[in-house]
Amino acid sequence: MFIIDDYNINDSLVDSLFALDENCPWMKVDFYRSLSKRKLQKNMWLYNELTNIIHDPNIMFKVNWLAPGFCYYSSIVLNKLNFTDIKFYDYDPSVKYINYQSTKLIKSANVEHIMLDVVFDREFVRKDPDLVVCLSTSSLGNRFSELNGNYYNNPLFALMGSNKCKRGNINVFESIDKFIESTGIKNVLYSGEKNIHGEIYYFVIGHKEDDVCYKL
Amino acid sequence: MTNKVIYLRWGERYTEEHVSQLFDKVNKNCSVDFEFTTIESVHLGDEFDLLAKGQSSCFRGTQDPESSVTDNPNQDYCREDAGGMAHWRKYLMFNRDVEQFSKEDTLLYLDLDTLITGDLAYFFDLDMSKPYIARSWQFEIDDLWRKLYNLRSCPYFNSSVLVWKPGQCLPVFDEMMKQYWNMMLSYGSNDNWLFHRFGPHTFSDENRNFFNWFPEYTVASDPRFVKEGETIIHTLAGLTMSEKNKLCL
Repeated sequence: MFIIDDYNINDSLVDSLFALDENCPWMKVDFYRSLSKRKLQKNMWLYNELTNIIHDPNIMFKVNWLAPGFCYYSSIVLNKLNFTDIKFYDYDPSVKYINYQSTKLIKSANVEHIMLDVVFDREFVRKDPDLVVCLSTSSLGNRFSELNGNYYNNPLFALMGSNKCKRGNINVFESIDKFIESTGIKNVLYSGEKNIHGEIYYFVIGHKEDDVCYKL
Repeated sequence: MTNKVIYLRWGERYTEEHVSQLFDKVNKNCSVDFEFTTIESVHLGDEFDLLAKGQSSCFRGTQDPESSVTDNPNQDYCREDAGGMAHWRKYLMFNRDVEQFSKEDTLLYLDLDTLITGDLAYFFDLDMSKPYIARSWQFEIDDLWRKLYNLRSCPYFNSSVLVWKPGQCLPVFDEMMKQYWNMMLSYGSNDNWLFHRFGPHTFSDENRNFFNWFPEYTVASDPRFVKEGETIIHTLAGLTMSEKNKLCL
């Protein structure tokens, strides 16, 4: 069960709002949207399914989170999952000012915000994470399996896609099967779909290879 | 050294009449010697074949993929999100220029739908330590380009007007060919791609701020940024074909 039990999240939010006002007021609408119920539901879904799969949180440390946008909810999820080495990759530099504040919540972790395009600059993305998260694969193109190819330690992937054509979604999926196929994940540990406010999201957790021992 | 004014024409959207009209406008508005020409080789070769194939494979819309605006409002994806990058041929010029021109030449590329309201000699008297590209200054209003940046659809560069030296823009061609498939999947417009990969925020130190741009009002792509006595070129980027033809033919 996803329960918010750390009062520091209030400070984190307030600091994020100050950063928004000071550094990038043009992102106000986007930031407010990032706090929507829909975004929270996606992160709760991620957290709940990951906790079902990762039974021992002490053996996974390193997470690459691709195209997170604003990281307020992400930081709550990662804090609760006890990840200690976190890299966020996003190409919009505006979000970093706010994300520095949002992720202060994860005090015990080494958090880095790297501003690059995970599709085009993928050679600069860390190659040996334990977990790769992307909740917006529909905005990254339809060759996610190619992006997965750069990792050499067969990490766990937690990926979400959408069925909805909307601004910024460059690839949408007709079904969960089509989505899983696009990710290149062969060993599926969880898959499901949810209608969240009229948009169907597809979610898969698993590994690309199915012939090695995993950290779980 | 020769001043070259370059145009490209392909497909059915632009005709010989557009070429002829552009030549007349250049001729009337350029106080220095120039040669008006095209680069035929951008329509040929292995790179052309690869990119054309990429465009047809990756385009997800139901309109002409060479249009940079959403012509068909009924298609699922808006043009910027539909893939198959419109106007990719322009960047083949950056590889073919050295075959056709001498290193000392200065190349001014103009779209066929360009309106010229001042002396083009300005473009042949620039410090060419970096190539030049037009900016769509209207996207400064209300920080629109920043709001669109995370959607990959911030058309802040406007390749309707380019000035460069032969070979100077080869990195753009190389980057395009290195990742042409992803480029065709992810971007609907060449200028959006160029801004993301060669603009102020790109990850690569070498490619960041690759271009200089013309001052506000010198090249305008919005009537609000046309200023009498200052504006030399008014581009019609973003308009439909019928709107463009009314203004430039």
